[in-house]
Amino acid sequence: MTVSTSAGTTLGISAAAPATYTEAGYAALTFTSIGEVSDLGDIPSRIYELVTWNPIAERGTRKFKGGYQIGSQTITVGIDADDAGQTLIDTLTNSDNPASVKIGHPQLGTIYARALVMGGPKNYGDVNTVATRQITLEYTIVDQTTDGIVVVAPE
Amino acid sequence: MMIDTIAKRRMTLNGKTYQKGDKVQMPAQQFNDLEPTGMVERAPAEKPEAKPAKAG
Repeated sequence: MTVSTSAGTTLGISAAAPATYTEAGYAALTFTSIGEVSDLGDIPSRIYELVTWNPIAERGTRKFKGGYQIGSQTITVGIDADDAGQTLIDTLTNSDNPASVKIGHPQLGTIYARALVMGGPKNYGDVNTVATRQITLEYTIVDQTTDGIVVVAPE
Repeated sequence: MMIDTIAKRRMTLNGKTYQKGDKVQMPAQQFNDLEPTGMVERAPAEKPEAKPAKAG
């Protein structure tokens, strides 16, 4: 069994939507890397809501799977005013349209998805800390039949 | 399609640092992404080389 750290993982973003929600569709886009990422947070995948039902004639709780969403991701970056990816994040924060996101892990493969860029607070900290920013990406489905998440296994 | 752009300020793009005024080649789709950031602008079209004057 082999496990991996996140070393070498990259995060890219583009305002453009792919022509098709496939590996080829996303790969045709040019992503701008977000620099100085120190924590990638949660990776998008389906998360179902738990639905419970307690009829008063019974003591046990029945459980069901309800709707799902594909999660959110809060990334931490060291603020770099020259970084094109971080500046693009600022621009996309003012947009209502979802962006295309690429997460490339050297051992675990590449994940493409669509996300709303929600922005996030900056933290300048104290004299012994690097000024950082936490940026939240809210992943969203493309339509009722497509999540828009494409996972490309490593070769 | 790759296009020529000019960095309007110092910029780190995909790991490479460009100074203000540097020429940066990028796909048109990436330029459309980055133009609203104000970091790049389209490079002016290069003038065709002047034909040498005919002798005589």
